[in-house]
Amino acid sequence: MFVGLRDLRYAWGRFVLMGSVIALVAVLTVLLTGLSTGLVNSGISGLRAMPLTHLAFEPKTNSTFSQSTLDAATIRSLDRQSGVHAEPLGLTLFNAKDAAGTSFSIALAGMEPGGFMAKGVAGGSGIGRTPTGVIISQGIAADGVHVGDRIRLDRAGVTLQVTGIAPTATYGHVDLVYAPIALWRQATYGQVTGGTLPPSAQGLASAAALQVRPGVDVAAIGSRLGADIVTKQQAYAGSPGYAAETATMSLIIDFLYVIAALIVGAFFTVWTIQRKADIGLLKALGASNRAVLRDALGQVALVMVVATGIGALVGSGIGSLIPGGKVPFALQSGAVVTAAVILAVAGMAGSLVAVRRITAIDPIIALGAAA
Amino acid sequence: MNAKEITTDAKTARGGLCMEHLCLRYGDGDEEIVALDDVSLAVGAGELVAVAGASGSGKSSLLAVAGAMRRPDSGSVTIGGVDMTEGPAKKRGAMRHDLIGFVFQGSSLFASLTALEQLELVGRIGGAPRAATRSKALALLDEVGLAAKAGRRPGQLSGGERQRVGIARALMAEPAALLVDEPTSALDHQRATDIVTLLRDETRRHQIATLMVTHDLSVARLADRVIEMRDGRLIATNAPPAR
Repeated sequence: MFVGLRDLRYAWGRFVLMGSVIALVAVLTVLLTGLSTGLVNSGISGLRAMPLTHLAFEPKTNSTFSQSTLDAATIRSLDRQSGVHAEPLGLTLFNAKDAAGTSFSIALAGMEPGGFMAKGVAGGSGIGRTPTGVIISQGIAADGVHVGDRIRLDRAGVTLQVTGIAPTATYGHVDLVYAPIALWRQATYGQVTGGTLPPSAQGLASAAALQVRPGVDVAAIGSRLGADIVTKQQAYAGSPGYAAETATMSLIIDFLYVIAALIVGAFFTVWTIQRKADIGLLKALGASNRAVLRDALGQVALVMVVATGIGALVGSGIGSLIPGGKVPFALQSGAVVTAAVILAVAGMAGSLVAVRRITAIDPIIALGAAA
Repeated sequence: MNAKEITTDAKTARGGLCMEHLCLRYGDGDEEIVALDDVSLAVGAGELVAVAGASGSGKSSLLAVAGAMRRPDSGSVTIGGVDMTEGPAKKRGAMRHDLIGFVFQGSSLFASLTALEQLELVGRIGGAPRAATRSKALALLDEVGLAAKAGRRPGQLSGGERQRVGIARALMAEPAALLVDEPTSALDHQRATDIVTLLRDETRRHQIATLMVTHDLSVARLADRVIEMRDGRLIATNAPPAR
């Protein structure tokens, strides 16, 4: 990189311009990565935090809690399978009102008091201490709901009493409220009767939370017992809007990678055309194609790494200023580094379009008007 | 023997530059242009030969073939007995680096490199150790009178100084032959005379076979021999006027 490094120093202005464009793309990529991560968190952070490996849904319901209902017999059968621990899990979205009459949405998660789910979430065994007691996630508490407050579920005619606060957790962009499964059933299936649970709803749940030992054939169990068993990660797709949101964000980020490759490719091609005489001269002085390419591509790699690094840092800085809570934004160092590396690689890939142009340059052009 | 051993032997032999029955044509049919028509020329070690001629006479083609940049349709080019027309482009590139020094029209320096770095680059291409390359480059710049301007870039040097850097760079790989393309095209008469005098002195000091093409007869006369080229042929061989 003898000439490449000195070109960077000498023609720093044009490289700063090019690097600035790449850095801006990197800033945008980091911010979109943060938004994407934030949206994912907002969609499934509650589900992700649950201490389960698999979920069993009613067949043909696309792993969607709102469409699925499992009865007590199926859940018990699942629990009796070797290597499987199953508990009922209810999850329903409600409109709620606090004591002041302010409306807000909640995702009411019902779970067995004292079970592995109740112990694993909400910071311990607070669920079920009282029949109407619930634990709200931090997001609701941040809006002014406190321990001891009452929350009324519209239409269901059920009143919940806040007994504790758990870390922030959401499902389908709505804050979670953890409740005893009996209270969840009363709220979910007693809506028509004003909170009274009909006998037919006894033992029902949206799904079964499973803890499955490695190596257990869950597909065979599900097929035998009439349940659709999916991994926790597969169940994310059932979150409202999750698949569409992640696909949209991924598409935007992928476009940025393509744009970066096109920008670098175009710049490097123009730069190569401008340097044609220098490259011919290098070859006339005896430099091999390999040496000339190493010099040129090393120059691009350096610009890409520095510009992407600066862009990622600036993007992370801007991201840290975005207020939490209102905007679904979350920066994870792993995601930022991955995005920056892909961006740098995309830029390098773009620069490869000029490789053939470089190798095709004839050293004879160094002889001015040579034949 | 590999290319490095061949070129080392050729340098040791210092047998000069020998071109025999070179023919080179471009295009075909009615479009065919004869660039070199049975050209034979020998340049001895320590000798400066000037080839003068008008534009399109074949001077640049002669340099391209002599410099292993273009393969002739027939004929041979040898430097110290090494055939420069044989082998793949990579091998010819390595032999070009080791055996031939080029001084290009308008000096052809890299805008981003200082005078010292222009010379160091040649050492880097050849894989020479950095310290040795630097001291040799400084010595050569001193030889052409530019030691004090080693840190300047081409834009900070005059036309004559740039051409001196070009000459010093051509000498970096201790070539057996020096090929010089219109070295005075952008210089006034006095500077042109100085440059060709320097070339002649360096040719003798380093015992190099130097072939210079030029359209400027006034400086061509400073060479040991002047050959006129017309339509791809060497049509006259004259000793230079007595100096």
